[in-house]
Amino acid sequence: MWARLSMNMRTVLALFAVLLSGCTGSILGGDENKQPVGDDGTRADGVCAGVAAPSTRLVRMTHKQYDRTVRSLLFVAETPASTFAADSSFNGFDNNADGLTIGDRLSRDYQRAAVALAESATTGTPWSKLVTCAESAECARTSIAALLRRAFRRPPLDEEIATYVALHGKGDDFRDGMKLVVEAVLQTPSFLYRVESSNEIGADGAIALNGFEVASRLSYMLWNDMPDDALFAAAGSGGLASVEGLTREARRMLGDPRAREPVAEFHRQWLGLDGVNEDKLRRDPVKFPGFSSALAPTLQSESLRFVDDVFASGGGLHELLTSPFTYVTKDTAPLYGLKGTFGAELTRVELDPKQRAGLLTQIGFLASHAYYDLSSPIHRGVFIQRQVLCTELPDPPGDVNLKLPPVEGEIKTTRQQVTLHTSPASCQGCHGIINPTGFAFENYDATGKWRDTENGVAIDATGSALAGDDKIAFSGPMDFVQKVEKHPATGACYAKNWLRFAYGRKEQTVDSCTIRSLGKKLQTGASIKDLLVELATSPTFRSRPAKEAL
Amino acid sequence: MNRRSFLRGLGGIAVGLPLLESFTGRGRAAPVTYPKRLVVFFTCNGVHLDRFFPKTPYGALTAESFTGSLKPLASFRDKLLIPRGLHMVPRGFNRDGTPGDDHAKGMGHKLTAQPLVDNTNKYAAGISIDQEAGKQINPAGRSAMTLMVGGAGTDGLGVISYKGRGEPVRGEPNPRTAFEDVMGVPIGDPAATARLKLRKESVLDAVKQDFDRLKRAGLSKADLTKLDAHFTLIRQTELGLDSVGLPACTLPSATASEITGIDPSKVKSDAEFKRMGRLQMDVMAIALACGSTNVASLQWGGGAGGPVFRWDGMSHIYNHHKLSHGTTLDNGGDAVAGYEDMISAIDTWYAEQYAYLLTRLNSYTEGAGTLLDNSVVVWGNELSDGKDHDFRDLPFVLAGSAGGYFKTGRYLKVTKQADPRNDVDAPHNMLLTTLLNSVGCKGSDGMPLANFGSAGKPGEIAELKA
Repeated sequence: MWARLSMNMRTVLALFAVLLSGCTGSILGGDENKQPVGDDGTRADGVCAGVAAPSTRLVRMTHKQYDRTVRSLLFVAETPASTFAADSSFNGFDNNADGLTIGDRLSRDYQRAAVALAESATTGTPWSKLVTCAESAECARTSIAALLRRAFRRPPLDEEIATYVALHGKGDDFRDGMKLVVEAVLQTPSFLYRVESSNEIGADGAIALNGFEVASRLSYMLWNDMPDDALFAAAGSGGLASVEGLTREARRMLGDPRAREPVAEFHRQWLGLDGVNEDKLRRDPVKFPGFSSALAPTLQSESLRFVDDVFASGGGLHELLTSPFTYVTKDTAPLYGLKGTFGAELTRVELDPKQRAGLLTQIGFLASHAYYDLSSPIHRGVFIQRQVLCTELPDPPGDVNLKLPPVEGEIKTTRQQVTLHTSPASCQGCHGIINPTGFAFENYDATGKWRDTENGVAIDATGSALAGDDKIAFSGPMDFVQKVEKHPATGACYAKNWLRFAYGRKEQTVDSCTIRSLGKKLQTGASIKDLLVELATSPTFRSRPAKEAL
Repeated sequence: MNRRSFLRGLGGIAVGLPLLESFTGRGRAAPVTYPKRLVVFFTCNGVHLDRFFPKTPYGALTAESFTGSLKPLASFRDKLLIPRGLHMVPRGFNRDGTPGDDHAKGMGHKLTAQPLVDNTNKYAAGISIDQEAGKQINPAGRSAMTLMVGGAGTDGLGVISYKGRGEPVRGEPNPRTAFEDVMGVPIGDPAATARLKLRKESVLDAVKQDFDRLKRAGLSKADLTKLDAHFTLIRQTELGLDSVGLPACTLPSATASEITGIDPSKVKSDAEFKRMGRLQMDVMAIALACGSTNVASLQWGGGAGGPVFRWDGMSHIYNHHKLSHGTTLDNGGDAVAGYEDMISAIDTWYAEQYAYLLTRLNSYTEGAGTLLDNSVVVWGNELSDGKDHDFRDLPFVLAGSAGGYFKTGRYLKVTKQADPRNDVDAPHNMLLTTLLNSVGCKGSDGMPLANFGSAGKPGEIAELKA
């Protein structure tokens, strides 16, 4: 395919090669690439090599990416992918390449959407942007070339332009011809997949992706959208071939509002915020008269708004897990014990730093991991161990009795109920890890409200919980959160989840060094933006292994 | 093979096909053979087991057999077959040490008889019976019709159908999309269809050139396979245009306008659960009748979920999963007073829906019998007793004899043990093998299938057969 590159493309590639060989400090060049690399991706000098992990060369757009892309490409308003056959999630995220397949139903969805989009792209304002010249044969050719460049996210080949010019000629008239072109382009693999055709093996034994391929990876990772003009320009001028250039573009893109959606999407899936729903938040109205499950959407928005604030203001893992502020409305303010006047919109408020610190102490998390009438140390503990510390915990056996023993006699608190219920030795393998973690949050009742006593007994939120291979002793929820936030397992876990989401694949052994190192950076001041820049500039992001998966 | 030619191959579906009727009416004595169909009706969260099965002795089904949850099925007595004592394989309660919790197993194992691949995604490790039958007995280029009602989780808890190991096929929740898939073109676009075919061919030609160029780019074998499969789909769906306007693939106008008016954003809501279910069954019946597909599945809700039933006399506060455990929360919570009546009301309601589907299929005459007689419509459930997540004594109900393969009108025990709630000798994969053979599926040797799935035992359940 690349033997017949258009002039434009050949120039780009030549430029690309020059830049690569000339740049200093590039992660792709230099003698350090000749050092032996361990299985976990660590080079002899201790630095992560960023070895490219095997992956497909054809990554299909997710449905969210499809919707954003057709809007950017064709200036239309539709979001047709909202009715497409749903994708399946793998390893916790619905953008994993394993789930991005095309069956006959999705193929028909694409066809239907192509027909409808071709119609709206050739009327009104979208039409005036699709064709900006007086109708003529030359105009058709120019308009088609411009469309292909953006649709395929690279300069089109001459023969590709010829294909669509011929198709255009089959229309009833000029406009109808463009309609056919749009309908066809939207069904091509060059549009539907991010195609990575580069195949020249470099000195480091990997295949460096060309500027346009890197640009696509970057824009779909940071924006869920196709590259904009500035990114295309950077790709075409070799601006993405150096770490400095790539960093500059990534920083620019992270400052754009489009970067917010993928960040929100990551945290929604990582934190299971879909669980903050009316069904999961139903509470005993007698015990909790001030609480209503109808608050669920507000509580979910609260956490997402908090994440957005941390992200936009340059915060990182530290802020996510320890910042004592949040967003409330007049309905949710009382849940935090706040007095004062609040409106119907979410407003930023500072909380008591002795009672609240970040995401794990927000009502949404606490109440969606609780029972109808009780807090649930087990649900909270399992979630934190699995999602925050990446501890492997099996599911409980199917025939286990879920009913806690009643509060009577010596048994006065939820902590005691749970302790007694899980006391058999056969439970302790897992519950020895789960329970103490959850007990740290016993100061929050089933609605996430702060409490100092339960049934007249002082709350015991002390203990010692597993983090990685260590035990950390804590004196209460604030102490627990502060200590967990500093533990290397937490940084590595957050980084591992981000790597899965950002790269759309499961981590592999060679990624271990990168994950550890990113975790460490997150715990020494790196922001979410810094993390994304690191992910974008890692050699694994900019190259493919010479040998492919399968 | 396009739809017109496969319809011709069927030797004449009489219903709603005046052209073919007049064709046979000319006195040509072509031997008429109707396709066999496999239909899966799948519900979740188990049943109230004590009230589900007939209380009458094993043997012929009688009027007295239909006193419990299966009451709505009384009129189909002679066309039903109720096997008792099947257990799921791989087994639940972690008895086989395979990955996943009991809900995930109940969903992933049921149509595959395969373990789950892992505990993270909870997808099954092999193909399901509907997809297997779709490959073998469907018109070329049409995979099994896979529909669902309501919403479900995005992992293995939300899916029953599999193309292969870790390859879930999600049910289409929107009847409009489902019907457009049958038709090949959007509803309400008849004016355009005349020129459409020529234009489609031009579009297809341009798209094909892009595929061809990409295939020369030195891709891996896996990526090439992916591209080939994708292009085959595009071409087939374009060719499907040939069938536009076939009368047999047309819905009654009232149903068609109801389907056209669906608000896609409400399709998965509880409020629409009942109506979407009925429309899905209407679409499925016409698709089976007009030869668009010979295999279809309909999944109602997802494992460990389900709607809050607030219609047809039910006014529940808790969703199906919670009620199945009799509690106010998905895990624990307080007891719900009267929950047993609530779950058997749900079971009865599902029996009514199953009866509706049977009625629809039974309304198409095919030779001396009906479409239902040429089909086997199997009602399966994620679990047996939902409260305990039990995997034994599975509540399977079969309807239709698959063209005489099954001896219907009976309630029979297929385990040799006295207590049907056992996991000794009647693994459910044997039922899956029998179902596939009943509609004419074959093994790789061209003989009837010896064993389906990777767990359980080889062979059919001979007692079910005629």
